[in-house]
Amino acid sequence: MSINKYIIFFFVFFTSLSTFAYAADEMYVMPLSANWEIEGDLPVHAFLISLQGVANLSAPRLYFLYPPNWDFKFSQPLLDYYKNTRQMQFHELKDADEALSALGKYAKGYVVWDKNVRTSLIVAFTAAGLNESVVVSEDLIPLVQKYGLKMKEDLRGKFTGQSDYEIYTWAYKKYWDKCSKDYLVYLGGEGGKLMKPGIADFGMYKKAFFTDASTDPSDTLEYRFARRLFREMKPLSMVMGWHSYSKDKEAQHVRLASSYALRVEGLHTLPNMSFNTQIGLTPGYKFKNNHNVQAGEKYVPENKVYLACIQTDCLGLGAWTEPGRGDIPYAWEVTMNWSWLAPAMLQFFYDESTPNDYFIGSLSGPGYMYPKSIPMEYLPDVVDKAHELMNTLDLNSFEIMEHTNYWESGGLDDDVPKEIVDVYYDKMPGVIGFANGYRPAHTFTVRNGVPFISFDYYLSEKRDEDEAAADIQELANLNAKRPYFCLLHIREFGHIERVKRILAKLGPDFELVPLDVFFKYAGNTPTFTTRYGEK
Amino acid sequence: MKKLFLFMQTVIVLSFLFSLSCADKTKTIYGTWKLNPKNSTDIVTVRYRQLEMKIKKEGEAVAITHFWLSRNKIASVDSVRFIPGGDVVKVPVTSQIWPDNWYMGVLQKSGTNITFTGSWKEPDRKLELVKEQTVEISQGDAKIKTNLSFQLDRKGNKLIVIEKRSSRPTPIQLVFNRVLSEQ
Repeated sequence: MSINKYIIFFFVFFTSLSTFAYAADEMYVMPLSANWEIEGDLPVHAFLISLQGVANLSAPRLYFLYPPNWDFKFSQPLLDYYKNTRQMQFHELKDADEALSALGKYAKGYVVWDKNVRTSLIVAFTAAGLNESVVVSEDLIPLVQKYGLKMKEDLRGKFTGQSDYEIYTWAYKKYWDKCSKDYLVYLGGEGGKLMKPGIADFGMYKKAFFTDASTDPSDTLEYRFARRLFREMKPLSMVMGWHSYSKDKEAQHVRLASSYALRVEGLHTLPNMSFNTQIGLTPGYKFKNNHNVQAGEKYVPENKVYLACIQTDCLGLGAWTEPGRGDIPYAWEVTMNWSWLAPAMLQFFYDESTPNDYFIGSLSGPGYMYPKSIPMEYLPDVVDKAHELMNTLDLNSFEIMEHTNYWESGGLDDDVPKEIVDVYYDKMPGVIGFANGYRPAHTFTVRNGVPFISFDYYLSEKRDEDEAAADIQELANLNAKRPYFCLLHIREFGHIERVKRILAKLGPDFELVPLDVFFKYAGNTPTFTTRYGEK
Repeated sequence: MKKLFLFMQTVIVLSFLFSLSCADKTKTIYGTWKLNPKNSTDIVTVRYRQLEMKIKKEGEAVAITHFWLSRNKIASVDSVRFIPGGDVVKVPVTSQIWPDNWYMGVLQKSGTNITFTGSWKEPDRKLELVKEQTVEISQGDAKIKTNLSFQLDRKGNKLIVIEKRSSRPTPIQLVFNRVLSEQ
């Protein structure tokens, strides 16, 4: 073989190795503490997450282990999965100094935020992403200077006495034109002296604009500002992060985003996405669900009460990593956008699943949206896109959540008008069932054996177990026709062991079945009454 | 002397114990009451609102008003006025929200009335109320009959309401602390 052929041979050989094994010399892992207060560890955490955002720009280099009480529970199990399936090896970093020593070379400078003005940190992340810099409070300036970094921007004293509206307007004028119109980051969640900017590395990675502007219409100025941002994003683009718990309600945030056909992808605490987004599927991998129904078979229910469980709030937030998973049939709302945002992360869930874990598409669209808020001219494309993701992920059931009027309705909400239900049936052929609601809803129908069923019961993690069992029994007494199909929505903090205890209190007339079987039974023998929400 | 002293002591102790065992007959169910969730059956109020109740005497009639509070502000109110032993009272349904349990797929049926009949077990102190309504569930309509029993504890500072719904396998016990007596 000639020299050239040897060169080509070894080039191809080592390149192919890199598709499923990663270079061991530049991957780092570091634990983060449980303190996220401005006067506590937030400044160091913010610095480290910004360092992650710049260090990961050209390769996945830095990964954090989040504390046990973090919203997303899987940073350690996912790390273990990467080590086992991708042969990744990580060097451990102990502190900010070590992190900067290892990875400071990827930062082009630093942006100083003002600890007296919390919002300045949110603006700093925007600036840092555009400048490929790290964010520091005044205390950390000596550290970054030690490693030769130069100041890119200084926000100290710039916003003293200003409202968030004034601060964000300043930031808009300075940065908006240079920012992505495919990603917007809402660095909301906890307010006051706390901030948990887990998503910030990804926002920087994508050069997104950061904000937490209120979407409450009564906060006139911030609301108008938020509308402006949403209006100037591309339709079907991503609003990452979460609304501020101290400014507005989730329903207001998602309603406004949906009204511009934007896809909400929470939370503000979603960790390590600049790392995870670069880790692909193993070669040849195809997502495979744990189906329980066979094509061509008929599913005829008996005269009993059928129950099916779906956990709320998508993957990674609750019971997935807790004991009991796999013991009983359980359906899990898939965060479908992870299939392209963080493919290996979603593969992790599929690989870890048991035969009793059935995945379903969610939530209303290709991301979290409220269908009544989506302009009708966009709705078919939105549902189409969701269906496309479902096909990639081998999902044949879908869940809708409609809270457009949630904070206005006094507690009665969640229902879907017929014209919107029509779009889902039309644009999701092959789906075997639709689930609807968060707390119970009241939209029901069946078409060609495909049921649209609302939750009849919401199981809070705080509900007394005897009373929860009595609730379900009472529903069965009220819905006297048999079979009765009772769809349960289980709050993600409610662990499966607790669900098992509650279901064990019900009699032999009750049977828990996998959701796809539930849908087949309900489609075959619907005993619910057709009902739609109002337009 | 010693025997006399012992006798007096016994009389005093017995009198004290007797007084403890007697109910305070001066107290009535009228007044303002606040639900004590810790001592009550776990209930799920709409939007986790707190419940205060006012019971008022209006001649022969009794008026019961529920105040559903959110962060100490009144978010909604529902009420009924009836004559114990008198005719059935009808209250039109103005909201589909079923206040009894926010986690269950049950709605109050629009365009219907909730009916109430009341009677005294003991005038001004023990009241029985029967409530009947039509609700909407996934399978259509269903009827619920609820027996509510209101009675004071011994000291008259707690109101215990036992609720037995025809559809529910177990009763609900709500314990209210007195906030204000009706003058």
